[in-house]
Amino acid sequence: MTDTDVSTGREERVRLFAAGRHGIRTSVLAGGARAVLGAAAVVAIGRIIDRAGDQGFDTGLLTWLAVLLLGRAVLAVIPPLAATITATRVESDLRRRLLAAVMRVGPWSGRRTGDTVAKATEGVDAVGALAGTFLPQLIGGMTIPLLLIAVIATIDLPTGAVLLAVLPLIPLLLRLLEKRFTSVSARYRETADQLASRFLDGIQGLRTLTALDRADAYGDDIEREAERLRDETMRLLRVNQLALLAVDTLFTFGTVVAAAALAATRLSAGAISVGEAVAIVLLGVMLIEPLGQIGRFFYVGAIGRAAAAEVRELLGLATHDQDGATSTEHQDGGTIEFDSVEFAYPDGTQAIDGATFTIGAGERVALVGASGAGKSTIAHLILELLQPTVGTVRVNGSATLVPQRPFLFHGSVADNLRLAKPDATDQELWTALEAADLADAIRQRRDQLDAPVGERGMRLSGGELQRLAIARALLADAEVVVLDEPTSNVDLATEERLRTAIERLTVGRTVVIIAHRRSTIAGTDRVLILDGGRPVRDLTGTDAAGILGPGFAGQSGGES
Amino acid sequence: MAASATARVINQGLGVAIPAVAVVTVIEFGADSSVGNLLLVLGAMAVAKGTLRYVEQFTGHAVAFRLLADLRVDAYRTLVPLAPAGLEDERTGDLVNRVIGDIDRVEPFYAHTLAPMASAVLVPILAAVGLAVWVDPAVGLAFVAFPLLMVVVAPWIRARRVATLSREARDQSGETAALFTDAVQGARDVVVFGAEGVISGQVEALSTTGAEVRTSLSRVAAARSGIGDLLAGAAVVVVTLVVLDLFDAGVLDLAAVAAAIVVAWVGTGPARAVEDIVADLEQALAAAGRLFELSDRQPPVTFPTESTRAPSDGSVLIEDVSVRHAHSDTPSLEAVAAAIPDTAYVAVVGPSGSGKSTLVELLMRFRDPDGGRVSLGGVGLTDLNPADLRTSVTLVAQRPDIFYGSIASNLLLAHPEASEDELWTALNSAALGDWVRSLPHGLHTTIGELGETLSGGQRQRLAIARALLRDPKVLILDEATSELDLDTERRVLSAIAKERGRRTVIVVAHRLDTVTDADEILVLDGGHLVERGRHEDLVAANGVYAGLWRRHLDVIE
Repeated sequence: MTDTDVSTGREERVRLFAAGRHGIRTSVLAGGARAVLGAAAVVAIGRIIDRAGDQGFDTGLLTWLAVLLLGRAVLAVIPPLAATITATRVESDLRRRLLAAVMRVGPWSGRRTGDTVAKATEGVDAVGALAGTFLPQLIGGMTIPLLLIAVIATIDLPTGAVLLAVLPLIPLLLRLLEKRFTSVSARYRETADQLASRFLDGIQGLRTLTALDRADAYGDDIEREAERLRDETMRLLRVNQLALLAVDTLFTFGTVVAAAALAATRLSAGAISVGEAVAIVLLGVMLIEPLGQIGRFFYVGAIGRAAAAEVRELLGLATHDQDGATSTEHQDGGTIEFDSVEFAYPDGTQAIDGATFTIGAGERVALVGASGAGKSTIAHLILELLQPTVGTVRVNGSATLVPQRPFLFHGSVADNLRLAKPDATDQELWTALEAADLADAIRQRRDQLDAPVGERGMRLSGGELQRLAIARALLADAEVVVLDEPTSNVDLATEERLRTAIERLTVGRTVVIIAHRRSTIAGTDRVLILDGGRPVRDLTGTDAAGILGPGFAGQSGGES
Repeated sequence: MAASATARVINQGLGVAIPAVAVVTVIEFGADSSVGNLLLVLGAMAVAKGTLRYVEQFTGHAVAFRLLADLRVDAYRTLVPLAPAGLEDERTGDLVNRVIGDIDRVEPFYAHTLAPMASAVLVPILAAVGLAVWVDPAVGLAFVAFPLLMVVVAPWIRARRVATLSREARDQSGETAALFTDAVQGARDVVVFGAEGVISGQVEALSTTGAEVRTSLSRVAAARSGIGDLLAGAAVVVVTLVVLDLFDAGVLDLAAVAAAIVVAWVGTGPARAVEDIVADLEQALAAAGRLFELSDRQPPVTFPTESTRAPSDGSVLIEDVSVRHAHSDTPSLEAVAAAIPDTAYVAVVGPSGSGKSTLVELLMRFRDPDGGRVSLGGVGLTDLNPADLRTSVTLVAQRPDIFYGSIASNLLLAHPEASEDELWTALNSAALGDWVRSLPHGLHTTIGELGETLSGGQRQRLAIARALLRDPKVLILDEATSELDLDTERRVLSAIAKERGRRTVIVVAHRLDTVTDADEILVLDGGHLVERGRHEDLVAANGVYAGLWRRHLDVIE
């Protein structure tokens, strides 16, 4: 890793925790104040012991001790509150940014959903705990010992000086340990995310697994993966906990024992009193306290750091993707212009290779071609879901989509419709449903517009799903409508109703249809035949009917 | 576990003993004994303490990680019998959150409860005994009250409210997971409609309520922390008072006074761990509650462990079945009866919502009818164990599930012992062989989650190939070719028809021209079986089917 890598990493980290900065500061200050009061109490104890040896009971000092300890208890209330405030702020902020990132790269990143979801939930939780709990402790662990040594120095300068010389060892050791732990936890997080993906995949496919009587066997796969995760974690723990042993020993030895030895030497030399010696030993104990805390929450820190790296990577992907988002232009009207457009997916696949064409306002164009010819990519470019790598895409006006497989969100019919137009009235929703020929079916449901659609629209039939997508597109009221073989999922009676609905949707708009079937092309003005990522033939409707013939071979030949 | 607890008690005991011994040595022998001896004794204690910490951590985690792995697999296995009908209303993101997140929070219950609890009680008691023996019984007694009070008070503060809040916090985490699952899988549709604000509004709202719940919880944690600190301070003050009294009375020397105060200062530490234990425990209980909810669920269908007898052939008898869905007013199926002979090629047609899918669910025994009975090869479906039922009947759904992995691994799901030749035969029958051969990695090409790198048609053909590999007595195609172009659809269906006589095929059809040569066509409408017969007879009868057919011809021409 180069220096620049490290520094950018640090900048990013500041940005990850930005929302929690105040909370962290409050927590650190409260911790510092507690340490100072504690040190003062220890000094008071030393005085009490000395005074007892000389002249007996001192009520004044004892009252002081009680007051100092009371103050400490009051301050003890702050860190848990500050930790939660910090954590929840950091988490909210990160979830919001992750969601935006997911929206930008989501379906094309090739990432598994379970993996992303695990990062957005467990991962972000871990970062929150890191910011709320571990970071203040880490900062305290590095600064509080200095405060305490300053107090020791006021009692006996040489003792303070010796301890100060030993002290830098501690933060150094901490950094070292943390580094090692972070790599361990990165592997742990990674395997845990994989497991989450496997679970999600299995649970969403449980219907098929059950039908194939493979659900139990899939459980065996999960068992193996869980076992691998356990095995790996344990093996790494075994080594890393050895480091913990060394540190525990060294900390105890380096602080308590060193303080005691110094106190003994100085006491026998007559440089300090008995009470002062006791105070130095107790301050030595206090020196390891913040370090002990860090030890206890080392996992929080290590797993949090690993999760932070993952979150940072996800956020980074989105910013990277954003860089190219400049070459899609907007005007009113409904014309579409592709000018020497090239597009390559992140894996290097060249999906569009020099496409130049224009679609006029109100024109109805079918995109035809084999799988991989670039139909979907062109549609995604028109919709601005993708940005061209080279060249310009000009879409004059807004564009909307009726997908082959519409995604419905958990919620009601109305929720899903309002995705396209959040402020639509119920009346507008019914009008759209009416035009999409879905109103009757929804009226038959008990909850009407509030009828739940089920996860991923599972409670609707294929035809209903498609018509809901059409209603949604109607509400979006865009100049350009992209249809991805919209009549594929439905029976014939429905197909005809769908056609009518599509007619209503597309009147007066520019239409781009991804076509697999001859019947889909009927009614278009023009057919663009794609091959190798660019249009190879451009036919008007009448030509197309003749040339494409039965089953249009270019399409099915390529796909099968 | 016991090893972990013992190690922790001794470790923390040493944590109290080391400063006490240090103080006594400093005061009593500091003047004349060599510093070397002191270093030696304390050094040995420090090494022992470190070693014991290692033992505690390692043994504790060994047990915990074993349990975690087991719990996860168990959680998956409790979901299996519920699927698919029993999980219809569940959100998969929430289910995954239970299996991953909630189980993570159950872990501290096993790894970090017993040992810290034992040491929270035992170490202060040992410290008190030490004080009683080496200093004075009165000092031991004065001290021990405070740590014991800590152990009792921390869990007691607002216990019931904390339980409710912890549960709410976990549920919100599940909702967040469900929301993100939808957002990731539906990102395209959200972006197309510019609805990012709607979704982020939901995430934001969830974050806000989540923050409120957790802030309430942290107030309790803060109270615990403050009270714990107060008790720790009180222990120091009270012990100081007592030892100074005894020193004045001449019972104690200065070293004993100092040692007692030091023990009072450090001896309550292990008891403070109770604050964390209680917080973890509440989380663990809330998380466990969410897991128990799943295991308490009644499966929608239960299977016998042994079949009464194996189905004799692929004949299907549907006797007077009715189904009423919970979320619908009208019945999905009403008194439907049909006898499908072995090796018949039968089509089921009807408009959207006519009950076709429900009929398929009954045939797969994803659910049981509210009335009536379905049997296969002369055996009632309820008398078949899962293995016999699933080897006899297979389904290709309209929206088939494709799993992350290779093409081969998706096929092998159906028939794990299939040879490569068998895989190719199935792929060829499903008109997918040429395409797979054209791929650089062939059978071993990775296909994404939910088969997102495949087109709809490719997914369907892969699912058909998978079903063919199982070679079932009854094959159900539920609109399984809807995303294929006409040519490919014909090729696939004719490959299946070629094996007529080998198995019963039930095709739920969306395009009528694919079923004109079926042995029998069942026409469903509004949950009723309204017509049945061969294509020509039904067209001649001029009923519902004839109407569908006429419209079909209109579209084709």
